Amino acid sequence: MKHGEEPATWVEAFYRRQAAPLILYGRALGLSHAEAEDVLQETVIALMRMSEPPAEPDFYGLRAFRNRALNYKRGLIRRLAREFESRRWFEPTTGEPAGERAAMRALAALPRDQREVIVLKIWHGHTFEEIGRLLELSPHTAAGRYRYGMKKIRACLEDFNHERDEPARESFALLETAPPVSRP
Amino acid sequence: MNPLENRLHSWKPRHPSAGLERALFGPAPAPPCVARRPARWRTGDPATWLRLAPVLGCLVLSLTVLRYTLPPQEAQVAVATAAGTNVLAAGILSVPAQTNLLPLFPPLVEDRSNVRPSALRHNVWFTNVSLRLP
Repeated sequence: MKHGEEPATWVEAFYRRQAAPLILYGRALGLSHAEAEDVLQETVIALMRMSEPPAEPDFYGLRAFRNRALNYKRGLIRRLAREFESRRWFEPTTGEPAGERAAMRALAALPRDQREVIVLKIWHGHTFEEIGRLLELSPHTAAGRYRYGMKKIRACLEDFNHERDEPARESFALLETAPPVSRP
Repeated sequence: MNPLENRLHSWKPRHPSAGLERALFGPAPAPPCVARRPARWRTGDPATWLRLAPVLGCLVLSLTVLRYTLPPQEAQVAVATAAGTNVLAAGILSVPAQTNLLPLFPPLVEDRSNVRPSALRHNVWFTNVSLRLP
């Protein structure tokens, strides 16, 4: 399957739509990029084995991915590899400001419950009702987690902007002229 | 969506690798007769040496263990005849007459050239048939 071609099956169409958001969701669940790819592969293979497409392919695939991600067994080598892997969750963009990177780090540093809801809401486009159905929560709980998480990201961005606007007095101190060397 | 949500939504999640897409939806694998053809020995390919590195490491380790578990004289003969590579065996056995490499470990005996004549015969047999050592 190449980009630009029409997907031959519903699974291919699902993969094109959901592969990148599911990888991000796997990162939010605590997997590394490679582990998320492994789980995505298992999920897509399981979908290929289905005789008929489910009623809600995206939601069904999301639930299947989540179940597999939570049951994913990590060996020692995988854990070590994860420690050394890049922490980048998003595609690099040209001219990415440092504040954006700080916010991305803040998203990754959130508690799993909060970042999971944020990823499902923003990048998967689900409503709080759907998120609550997936996570077996009430929509209000899901919305509360979302608000707490977004509040932390906003605070991180504001802190960064505040630090950036601070006058850099220390750098001026470092640039003062050196005292003359006295001859003995 | 508020401005913060719009800002976050503009971040594009990382895509899975192209290899995953190929593995799932790519062309069918080659038939077995093609897939099982013998791999060509490509000495210029770094991947070949990467694959061989563990084997070479195990070989060196086993030869070193052999050298310290057997009595010195028997180990030298066994290693020199079994390995088939005199340079490698000489490097491990620290026989100065056969190598210019420093030994990895100090020799167990004082005599640094304590190789038995029979071992030397094994080493030079194929290069000079007429040479007869005592």
